[in-house]
Amino acid sequence: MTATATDTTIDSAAEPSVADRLRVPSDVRISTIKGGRFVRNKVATATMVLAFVLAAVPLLFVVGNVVKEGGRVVSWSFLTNDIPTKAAGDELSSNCDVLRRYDPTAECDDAAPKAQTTLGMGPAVVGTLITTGLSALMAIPLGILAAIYLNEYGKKNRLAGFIRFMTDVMTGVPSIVMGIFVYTLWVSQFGQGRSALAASLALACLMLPIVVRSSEEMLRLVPNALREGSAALGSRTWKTTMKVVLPTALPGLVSGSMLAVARAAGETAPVLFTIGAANTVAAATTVTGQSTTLSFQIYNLITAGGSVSPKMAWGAAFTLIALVLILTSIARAISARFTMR
Amino acid sequence: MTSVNLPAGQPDTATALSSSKGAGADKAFRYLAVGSGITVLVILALITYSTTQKAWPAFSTYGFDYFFSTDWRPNQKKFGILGFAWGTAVISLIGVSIAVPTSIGIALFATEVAPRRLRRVITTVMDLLAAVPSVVFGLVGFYVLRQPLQDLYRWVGDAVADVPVLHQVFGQGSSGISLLTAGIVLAIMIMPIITSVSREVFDTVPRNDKEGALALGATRAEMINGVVIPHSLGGLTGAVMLGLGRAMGETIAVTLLIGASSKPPITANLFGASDAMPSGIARKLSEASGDYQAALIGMGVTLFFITLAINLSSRKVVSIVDRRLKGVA
Repeated sequence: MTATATDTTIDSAAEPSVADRLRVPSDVRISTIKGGRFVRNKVATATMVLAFVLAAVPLLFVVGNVVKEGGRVVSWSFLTNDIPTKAAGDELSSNCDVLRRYDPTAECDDAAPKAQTTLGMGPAVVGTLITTGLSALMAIPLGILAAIYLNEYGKKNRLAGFIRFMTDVMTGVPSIVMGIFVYTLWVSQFGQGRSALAASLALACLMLPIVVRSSEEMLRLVPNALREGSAALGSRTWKTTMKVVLPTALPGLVSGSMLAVARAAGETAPVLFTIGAANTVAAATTVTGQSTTLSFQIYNLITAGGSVSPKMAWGAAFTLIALVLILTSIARAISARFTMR
Repeated sequence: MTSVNLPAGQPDTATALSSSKGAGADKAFRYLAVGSGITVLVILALITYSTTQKAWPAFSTYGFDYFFSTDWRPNQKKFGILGFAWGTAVISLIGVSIAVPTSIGIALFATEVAPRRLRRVITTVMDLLAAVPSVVFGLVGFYVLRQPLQDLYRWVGDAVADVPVLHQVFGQGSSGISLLTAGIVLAIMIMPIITSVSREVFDTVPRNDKEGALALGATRAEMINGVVIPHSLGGLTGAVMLGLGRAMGETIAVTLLIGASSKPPITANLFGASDAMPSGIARKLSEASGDYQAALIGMGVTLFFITLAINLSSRKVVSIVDRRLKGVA
C-alpha cells in the first residue's frame, strides 16, 4: 500500500533484464491505479465504513442509555412488585431513600414521611409473558402448518401462490392496523372487551405472516432426496413430513419462530387498544381479564409524565430490551449452529 | 445431517404398500395443512373487511373532504386527514432518504469490502438494531435527545433565519420533538430491513462478473459501480419500497417524537410539531366513538391501502427491472 505509483511502473529509464520483467511486483494492482481513480476508490471505501458507523452509533447510544438508566432501577423486587398507583408514585417521589438510590445528588427533604411503596413492574412482566406466550401458541402452529401446505402440498399451484402472495401483503400491514382490527371486531363488535387474550390475538395476527414465510424458507431447505427416500420406503406424505421433513428443519423453524416472538414482545401498537390496564401482579395473571405489557407500560409512563415515571420507564425498557435480545440471540445462535456447516 | 429418523424397518412402513393403514391420518393432515393456509387468507380478508366496514361512515359522510382537507376538529365534526397524511409523507421521506444511502453503503461494505470477521460484526449490529423495540427508540428520544435537539434546532433556526428558502424548511422549533426528529428515528429503525434485503440482492451478483471487472483493472469502487449496482437495481428498488412501507406504518416511536399537533398543518418547517396517521390513531382511538371513531379507523384503512399499493408496485418494479436485465444477459 505504501509504494507509490512511480516506484513500480515498468517504463523506467534503465531497461530491466528479462528476469526482472517477468517478476510480477507484489503490489502490481495498486501500481496501475493512479491519481483520481485511486482517490475515488479510497473515498468510496471510507464512505461505506462511515455508513456502518452511522448505524452502529445509534445502537450503542440507545442500548447504552437504557443500560445506564435502567440498570439502576432493575432489581428482583422491581420485576416482581406491583406498579405503584399515581398517588403512591407521588409519595415515592418525596422519599429520599428511594430518590437517592437512583440519583445520588437528588435534593429532597429528609424529614418527609417515609413511603412504604416501592417501584415495580411485575404486572407488565407477567402480562408480557402471558400475551406473547398466548400469541405464540396461536400463531406458530398455524403458521408452520400453513408453511407445510405451501411447501409440501401446494408447491406451485395457484392456491399456494395466492396464499404466498397474501402472506407477503399481510407482512406489510402496519402493526397498528392489527390493533384496530382486533379492537373493532373482537373488543367492540363481539363485546369481548379488552383482555390479555385480545392483545395476544392482535400480536398473533402480526406474527403469523412472519412465521409462515420463515418456516416455508426452512422447509424449502430440506433436501428433496430425504422426502424421496422416505416415500420410497412407503411412507405417506404426512408421515414423511412429521418424521423426516420437520425434524430436519426444526432448528430453522425454532429460530424463525423465536424471532417472530421477539418482535411481538416488543410491539406496542397492536396492544394499545386491546389490553386495558392492570396494576397488580394478581390482576395481570389472567387470560380473559385486562392486563398490561412492558412496551405498553413504557408508552403510558412517558405520556403520563411525573417524577417517578421516567425511572420506571427506563427500568421497564431495560427489562424489555433484555428479554427481546435474549430471545433474538438464542434464535441467532440456533440458526448459526445449524446452518453454517 | 442432524438426527433424521428415516422410518426404515418400522413395521407400519413395511406394510404400508399392502394396506390402507394411515390413509385417514394422511388425509386429515392434508386438510389440516390446507385449512391453515386458507385461515391466513380468511384472517387477512377479515382484517380488510371489518376495518373498512367500521370506517365506511367516515368515507361516505365526509367523502372528498375527508381525504383532501386539513381541517381536523373532532369536537366540531370536522374530519380532514390530509394534515396527518402530510406528516406521514414528510417523515417517511426523511427516513427513507437518510436510510437508503446508508443501508446500501453498509450492505456494500458487508458484501464487497469487509473481511469475514467484520462481516459477522455488521450482521450482529444490524440484527440488534432490528430487535430494539419501537417504544425504546421513542423513550430514548423523548428523555435524552429532546433537550439537546431543541437547542440545536433553535441554533440552526436562528442561523438560517435570513436565508430565503432555508428559513421555511428549518423554521422556529418550539421543542426538540418535531417532524425532523421523527424522520431521523424512522431512518434508524428502517435501516436494518433495507440493509438485509440489499445484502441478499448483492449476494446474487455473479462472482464471474465481479472478478471479470477486477481483472480488467477496475478499482473496487468502479467494479461496484459498473457491475454490482446495475445488476441489483431491481432488488434495491424493492428494498427501498419495503423500507418506505415500514416507515409509514411505524407507530409508537413516531407518536412520541413527532410533537402531537392536534391539527397537523401542511408545513415545510421540519422543526415544527405535526402528527402522522398511525400516531393520530394511537393517541385517540381508545377514547373515540361514533363518527370520530370511524374517522380514526378510516385513517388506518387509508394507511393500509397506501402501504399495500407501495408493496404491490414494488413487486411490479422488481419484476420489470429483473426482466429487462435478464433480456440483456
